[in-house]
Amino acid sequence: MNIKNIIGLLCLSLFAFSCAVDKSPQWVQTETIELDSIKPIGITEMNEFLWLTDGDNNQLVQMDSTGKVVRIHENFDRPMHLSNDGENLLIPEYGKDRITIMERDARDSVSMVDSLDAPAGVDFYAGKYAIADFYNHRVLYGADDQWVNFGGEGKEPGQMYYPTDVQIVNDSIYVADAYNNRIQVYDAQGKYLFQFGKEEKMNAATGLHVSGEQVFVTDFENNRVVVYDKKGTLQQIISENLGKPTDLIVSDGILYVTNYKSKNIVTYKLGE
Amino acid sequence: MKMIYKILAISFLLGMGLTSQAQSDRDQMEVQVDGLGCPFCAYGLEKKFKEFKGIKNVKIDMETGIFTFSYPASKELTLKQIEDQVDNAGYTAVTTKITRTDGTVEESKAIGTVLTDESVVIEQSFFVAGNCGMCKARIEKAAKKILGVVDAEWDQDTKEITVSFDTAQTTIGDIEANIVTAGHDTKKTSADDAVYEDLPGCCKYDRVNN
Repeated sequence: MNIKNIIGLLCLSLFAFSCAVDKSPQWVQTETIELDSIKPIGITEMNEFLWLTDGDNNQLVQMDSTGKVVRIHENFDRPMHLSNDGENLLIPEYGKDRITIMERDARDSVSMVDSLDAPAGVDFYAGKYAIADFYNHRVLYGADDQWVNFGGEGKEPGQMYYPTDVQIVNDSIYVADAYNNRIQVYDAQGKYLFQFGKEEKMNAATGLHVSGEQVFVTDFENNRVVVYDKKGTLQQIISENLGKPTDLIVSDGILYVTNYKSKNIVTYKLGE
Repeated sequence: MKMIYKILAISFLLGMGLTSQAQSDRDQMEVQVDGLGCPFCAYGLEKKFKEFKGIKNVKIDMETGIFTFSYPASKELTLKQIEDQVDNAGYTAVTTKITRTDGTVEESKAIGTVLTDESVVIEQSFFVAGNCGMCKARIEKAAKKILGVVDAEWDQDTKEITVSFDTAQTTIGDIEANIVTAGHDTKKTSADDAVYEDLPGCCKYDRVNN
């Protein structure tokens, strides 16, 4: 083998290696917002404010985008992974077995035909709610008197073990199947479609957010955020400066991660 | 008019008396629960205790793991009943205290190993499967329940427990067996499937020998 062949072989190897490396932009940490005594669980964004649930203190925290607390809303019973419908906040009250609707200072609750046992997460899209019903190991999807429920306790595909968060994405429902350590995806009739996350050996997949083409998951006990594409292909694992992360959102290109133990929010932006 | 004031005053005093009596009819319970790191589980413990009729003033302090409530004295709730209830919920009671209405205090006591002149204390480590802070509390408590164990600490990252024990009073095999009985696999022995299934969700580690 002459020198030209060796150089050619090296170039070919380098080219092959560079193709194998994921070149998609990675999320890079930008800021840490300290929250003092607030122990955040859920986060949502509405009307240019960030809203956090503080389960330990039974309150809802309203913040501006810089992290400055604007107002504290009290008297919730263990509020968890909240969401909004654009005008109202939707707050699962784990200790009261209800989804509270809050419009300014007025509170009401989502009418249900079935009873909940520790609702841990809620989402709303196109006139329908999806609710993670923690102790019943299921998700309820619908509105008014038209609901379907799916899941059921277990480890098999489609079954759930303590679901904690949920998001409706067009005709699909993504579920943080927390203590099965995976994400499961169902159609609008509750039919199981597929799952992912087991390979990453997550330990309590507590929070979920689907944004654009990516799915973000908080891996609570391992202090990580795991990023997938919408089919469940791993894209990135973020493991620096997280302390028992519980929830996350992407808003205006910023990824906000709430850290229950560290009592802060860590933000990220996509790198070049 | 004076009569109305009198009636109101008597009603107020009667009300105060009834409230005071209601308070004095209740025992005060305090349980320190280890491994309450996950809010879903901690709030779940609180929620499940709320289901018991007669329980009031339920509070849980996540920082200290102290769980308090009051209960009708007439029901004579015992330390064991409280600890069993905590165990049934999948948690580990480190200390339990009841303050009765007459001021008497009852407290659970940990087993205290007494060393003698013949004692030979050694330190050994072995693998124990587990996941979280609740696992840590359960594993360490199971080890410390054995008379002769001086100290036990399980490392959540390495999954190794390090125990100091008096070889004149116990063996490493006894300690390991008690941990397995509590639901945690070791490299040598598997926990009973039913006990494993009863562990809280966050404690469902990957089985070692399956």
